[in-house]
This record gives sequence, structure tokens and C-alpha cells, in this order.
Amino acid sequence: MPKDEEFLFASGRIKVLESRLLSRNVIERILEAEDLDAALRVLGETDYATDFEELESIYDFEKALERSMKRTLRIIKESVKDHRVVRFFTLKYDYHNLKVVLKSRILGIVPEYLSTLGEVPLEELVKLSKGEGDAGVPAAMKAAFNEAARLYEETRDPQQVDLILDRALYEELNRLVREIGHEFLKDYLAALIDLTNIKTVVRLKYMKADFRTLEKSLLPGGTIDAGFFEDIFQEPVQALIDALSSSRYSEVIKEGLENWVSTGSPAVYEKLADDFLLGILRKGLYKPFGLEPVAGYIGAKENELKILRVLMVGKINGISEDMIRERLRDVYV
Amino acid sequence: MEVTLGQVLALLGAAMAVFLPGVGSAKGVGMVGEAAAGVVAEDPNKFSQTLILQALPGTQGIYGLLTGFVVMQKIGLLGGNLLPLTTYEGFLVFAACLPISVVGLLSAIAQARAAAAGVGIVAKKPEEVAKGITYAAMVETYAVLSLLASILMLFGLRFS
Repeated sequence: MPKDEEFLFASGRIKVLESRLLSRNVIERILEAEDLDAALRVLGETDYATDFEELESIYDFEKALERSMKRTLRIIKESVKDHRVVRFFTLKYDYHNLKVVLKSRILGIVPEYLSTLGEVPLEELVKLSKGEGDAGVPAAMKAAFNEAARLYEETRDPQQVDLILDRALYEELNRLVREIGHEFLKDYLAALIDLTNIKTVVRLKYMKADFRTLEKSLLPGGTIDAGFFEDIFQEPVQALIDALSSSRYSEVIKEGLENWVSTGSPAVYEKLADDFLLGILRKGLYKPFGLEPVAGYIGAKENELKILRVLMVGKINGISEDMIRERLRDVYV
Repeated sequence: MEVTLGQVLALLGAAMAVFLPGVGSAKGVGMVGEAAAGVVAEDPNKFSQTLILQALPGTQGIYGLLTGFVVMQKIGLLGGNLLPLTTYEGFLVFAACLPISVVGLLSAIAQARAAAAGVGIVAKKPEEVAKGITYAAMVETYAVLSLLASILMLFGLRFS
């Protein structure tokens, strides 16, 4: 387990960076802005000013967000000795890219919307998708990629690609967290997996999916085991709410799932689940130095990007303030 | 000149009083320095405020050195006339060195942790730096008390 003292420099740096995260006040101002221009003016006073200035079109705002995240990851990478903490957060971007590359190959198109936040070079991924054996891609990813490609050939079902690669991602995350051996990340990952699995079960119920799809979709490594979900799969959603009413997720589940049942939309559940995870990360805010502030800050930054995404999409499409507010996540600071 | 076991023990005590708190202070000042460097990397204006915090765990090393000097003076080493201490006399000096040696080492590291947390206060609310300093300075009490104990013991010893 990495010692707190290893993160002294990074923690000092992060304490300054934390104060530059968007406050609730700024988010409110963006939300209440009359139009997109007014919203951008507010963003112009924040850390995002330069990222947004360089944009040719506001519809490319995703690029600005990605640039900002890239800067954050760079700062943290150069401040910590133990790179694995950052890897815990960047791994999902590589798996996202793997999915894009494979699906593009299936469709016979040039891969688009690749993330630049991953750590495996994009050209190596393209090499892999062309079937070149010497592509510089980690073995675990290569194996997952080939397995997904093989299964697609067999079933012709593009959903299999997502299922295989998601599972591979979480298996690797579980391995990484075990290797790091820090309770904080273990706890966070377990909660992330549990909340994702709960969502999967309800989603599949509504899709009237079969049992085999459920088995394949459940992610490994949570505190609630797969058997529980498989048992409850045939029951109504209310049974799931009751069964988990004394778990740590009871509030998320009660409010989120009841809302899902009545409105048919998972938006509230997703928001509450994200807020719950942010609550775990928030330990980092109150710890002077250690792994927690580092991981907490990366998670907080990701959360901030999610907030901005909701705000920007809402403002661009002229969605009402209340509708946007309903989907807005909590802030870290 | 014939060296007695008492002299060896006394000198061992002096050495211990210097090196243990010295190690603690070095580690402590280093720890706070790392955290402070992180803050200054993002906000160079905070150098002077973090410097005060960094200096706090350094005092234990000075207390240890002071104790070491008192021992040297007491046993006549400074004047070049090492007193012919008996074994028991040597043990007395060694025992007198224990408080500052142990408390100095551990309190320097404990103080460093508090000071590094204070660096976090400077990062967010630089106007509240005094509070961060106060928290870290509270640890100083115990380093001072142990110094006092060691010095009083040494002053109380009389060698013929």
C-alpha cells in the first residue's frame, strides 16, 4: 500500500487546484445565463477560459473539456511517483478507444471520437485493429480485443463487443486496485461496480432481456454478488428496492429507482449514483495528504466535466433551467 | 589517558541526543517542504507563508544539539579535560539524554504532519496561515518539555 508521505508534493499541488474547481456558485451562474454566450462569458472567468477560447465552434466543446482533463492528468502524473493511481482513472479511456476501433472495423469506417486521454497510443490501436500482431498494446487489452472480435464474428451482435470489453475493463480495474492495495480505491471501485450492476439489472428488466444477457452484463468485484441480482431479476423492481433498503446505497436506490419506475428514465438514478460516488471521493478533500486527495481530485474533475457537459448540451439546445438542474451533479468542493 | 565505560556511556548519550531529534527534524522539514513545493508549483506567491510552516519541525534538531552541548560541557569534553566518570555516572548522563532523544524524534514527525496539513490551509485560505501555524506549534510543547527535563537532569548532576 502506498504511504501517505509519497503523495506530499501532489497533495500540496492539489490543494491549490481544488480551490480552482468550479464552485456551486459558478455553476448556478452558468445555469441561469440567458443564452450560450452569457454562459461562455461565465466560463471565461474560470480555469476553462483558455480551453474554450481556442474552440472554432462551440459544438466542439467536448474538445475543450478533453483538453482541460488532459492538462489535469499531466499535472498529476508529473507529481506522483506511483503512476497506478492515475492509471485507475485513465484505463476506461483506453477501453473506450478499443471499442471505437473495433466497431469502426466492423462497420468498415475510419475510427472517430477516439479519446486522447487514454495512455495507449492511438496509432498502436489502429495497428491492432488491422490485425498486426506487433501492435504496442498491453497483453490484457489485446486479449480482450481479440475475444470481442471473435465473439462478434460468431454472433454478429455488436452488443457483445461492449459486454466483453466492459467486463475486461473492470477485471483490469479490480486487478489494479488489488495491486495498489489501498482501501480508498477498493471502496470506491466496489461502490462503482455495485451501482452499475443495479442499473444494469433494472435496465435489462425493462428491455425484457434474457437471463444469459444478465449474466454476461454483471460486472465482477462488487460487494453485492451476482447471485443476488440473478435471484431478483425475475421479481418486480420494488423487490430490489426492498432488498437493498438496509444497504449503504439505500437512499440512491429508493429515490432513484422509484423515479425510474414512475418516469421510465434512469436520469435521477444516475445523478444520485454519481453523487454517492462523489461522496466517497470527498474524503480526499478532508485529508491533508495521501492517495485520497489525489484520487479524489481526479474524480472531482471528471465529475466537473460531466456537469459542464450537461450544462453545455442544455444551453446549446435551449433546454429549460429546471430540466437541466434536475440532471446536475453535486460539486466536490 | 584511560577511557572508562562511564565516559563512553555519557558520550553515547550526547550523540544520541543530537542524532535522533536531528533525524526527526530532517524528515519533518523534508515532508513539509515537499507539500509546500506542491503548493508553490501552482501558486508561487505562497512561498513565504509555507516557509514558516516548513521551519517548525526543525526546532527539535536544535534542542537535541543543545542537549548534546550541555553534556559535552558537563563531562569536560569541551575543555579538553574529560572527567573520569564511573559506569553509574555514565548511565546517569545517558538517562538524562533520553527524554529529548525520543520525544524529539517522534514529535518532529508528528509536527511535520500537522504543518503539512497547515500547508493545505495556505493553499486554500492564505489569510488563515496563523491558524495552521498554531496547530503545528502545539506539538512544540512536548518537544520543549522533554528538552526541559533533559536539561534539568543534566544540570542536577555533579561530578567530582
